[in-house]
Amino acid sequence: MEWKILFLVEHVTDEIENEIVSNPAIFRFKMLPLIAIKAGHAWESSPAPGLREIAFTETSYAVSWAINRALLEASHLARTWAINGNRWVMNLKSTPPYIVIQDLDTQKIETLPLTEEVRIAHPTAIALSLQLRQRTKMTDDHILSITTHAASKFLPVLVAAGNWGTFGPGTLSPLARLPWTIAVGASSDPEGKELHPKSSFGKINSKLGEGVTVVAYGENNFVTGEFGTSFAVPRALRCLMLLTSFILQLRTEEETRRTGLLGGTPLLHHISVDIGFTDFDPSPSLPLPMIPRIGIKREAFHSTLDVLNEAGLTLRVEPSPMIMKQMLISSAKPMPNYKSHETGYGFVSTELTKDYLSRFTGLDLATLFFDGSDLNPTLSDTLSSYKLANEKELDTLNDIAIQSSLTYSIDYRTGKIHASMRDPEMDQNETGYHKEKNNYSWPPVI
Amino acid sequence: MAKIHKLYSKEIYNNLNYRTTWLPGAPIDLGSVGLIEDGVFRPITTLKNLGIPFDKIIDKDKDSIDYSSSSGVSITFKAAGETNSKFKALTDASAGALIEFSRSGAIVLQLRGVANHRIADQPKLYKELLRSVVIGDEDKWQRDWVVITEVVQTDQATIIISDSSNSKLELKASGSVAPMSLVDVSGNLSVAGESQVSTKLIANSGLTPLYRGVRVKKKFLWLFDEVQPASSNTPEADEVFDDAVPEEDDAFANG
Repeated sequence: MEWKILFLVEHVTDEIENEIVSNPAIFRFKMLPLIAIKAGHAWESSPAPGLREIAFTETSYAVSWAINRALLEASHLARTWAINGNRWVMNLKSTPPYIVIQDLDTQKIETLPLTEEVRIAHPTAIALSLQLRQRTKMTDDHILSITTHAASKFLPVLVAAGNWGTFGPGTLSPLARLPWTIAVGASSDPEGKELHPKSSFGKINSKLGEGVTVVAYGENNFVTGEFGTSFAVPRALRCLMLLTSFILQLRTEEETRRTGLLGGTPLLHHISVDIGFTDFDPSPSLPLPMIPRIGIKREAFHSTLDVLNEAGLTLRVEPSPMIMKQMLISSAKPMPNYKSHETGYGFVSTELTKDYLSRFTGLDLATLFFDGSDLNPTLSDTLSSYKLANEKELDTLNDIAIQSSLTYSIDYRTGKIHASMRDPEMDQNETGYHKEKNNYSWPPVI
Repeated sequence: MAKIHKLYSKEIYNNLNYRTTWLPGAPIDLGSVGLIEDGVFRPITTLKNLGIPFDKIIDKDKDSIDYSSSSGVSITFKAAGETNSKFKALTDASAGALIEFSRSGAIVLQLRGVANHRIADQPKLYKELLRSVVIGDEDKWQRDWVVITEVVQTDQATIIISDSSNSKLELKASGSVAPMSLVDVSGNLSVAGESQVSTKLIANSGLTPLYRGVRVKKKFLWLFDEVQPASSNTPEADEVFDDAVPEEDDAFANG
């Protein structure tokens, strides 16, 4: 196995700063909460201050490169603001109509002037459709340990638990053992009664959350009878999509209340690092500029904000990776026939997520964002009486969130991109997410 | 031109479906674990040392194997008193044998009292090894390791390999009767003369010249890759392991 050397920027020195500024690609990495991977630079024999070197394999470098690029695209998209129109939607040349749904009564408004710019898309999660060889030592210096840790500060990182369960305990993919990833195991049935025998699980007596985080139904959508944890990951992702879109609804509502401006809820965007696909998705997502306001009980939410304000607590709802992971865990149903090292927090599904949200109260929300000691019993009682979800609209919210969501996948073996939306005027070899060509090349130069 | 030992190994494998030890007199044991380097097995450890128990099937029946290269080999026997002008080292008064080779790398292999000992439950062994592969226990199994699963034990073995297209070997028998074979114990054969013979073992006893080994199939070497597709299912053990065939040696040697 050939090993290469990578330099990681830990502290930005003047020398590195100059280098970064002179190379836009590196500069963009710096804009992310990521390490800057700078390969083949001038300090190979003598790292500059603030640099250290680590060893890595070509494949792990390629995966890290793919993660970084995918996050860059997500970051770019999230920081792109749309004013009542999403020019990136394929073949969309004019301003689209904005659909407002209220109490399941749909009315179409041709133009709806927005007074607040809206971010195009909010990243739901990154799914790493790969597993690492068992006993790969995920030290602090392992390149995938570093990149996934950095990514987890930006968005939830979903990984398959692995398909080696028939070999017993301690068979989790090393990526799944990292505390900042969400490791998804596979069940044999849609109700989550049985863990599929192939689903890898952690070591006996390991603590809750150290191994498998949650379990989702593990059957291949396209091949009946084929099971695997990689098929469970998209179902866990669906749960995160509904949870994220719900929290984004609350965020939009809170922003409007605070600023007096009419805003919108960004579309959802999910990313995967995988192999085996080519070209762009010929059927673009539902061409919405944003998700309409739906799925929450505004009055209950406003009451929640009011009582929190009265208690001196200012709530800014933001779907951070930590918050979304916590919500996913909270929505899980324990699998009583199994121990925590086998099934983690339990089974998740869209139905369970809807059930969780239908019971979601102001207290649940406050507990996500505030320390328990901030919430006295009286306040807690009051908050627990506010149910924040409009149960009747959760199905619609779920459908819209999924059908309008944007996908972006990158093949870590070829560098090819598969995306559900792009600028139709772009070269197909580029992603359509940005217009700066030639900043990336495949294979990455080491 | 390929090395003599590789020609020998390839020809015997192609015709007898066994790998050869090198040198032909080098001992090899069931359950031995090692590497095949340049076609030669180099032991590193044993299944016992790796904590993998196994039962042996000891072959009670004894067979014979007579193999000569299909071309380039001629064997002549003569009794004492017989005149044959081809014999140069043996006098007319001596009994013996003459082996003539007309190409380099031609082989004569005659084995007597052949018993084929093997590991009894190979599917069980495969499962045990696959577990080590899958959980990445490199102390217990590495990608290019071979485990010896069959050993051919012989009472007597004669193995001769030519070094040129004009090799000759004359063997003298102790008695007057023409030897029945090149492993004829009663003949008490000894070398009377030789020319350009690469390798010769004449009626040696207790050799293990042939074996079969098992290792991971080339197409499953991805099991040792650091990054694997998440959709990778665990293959069945008997899919992953197979005979360590010479054609795949290079795949392992090249890493």
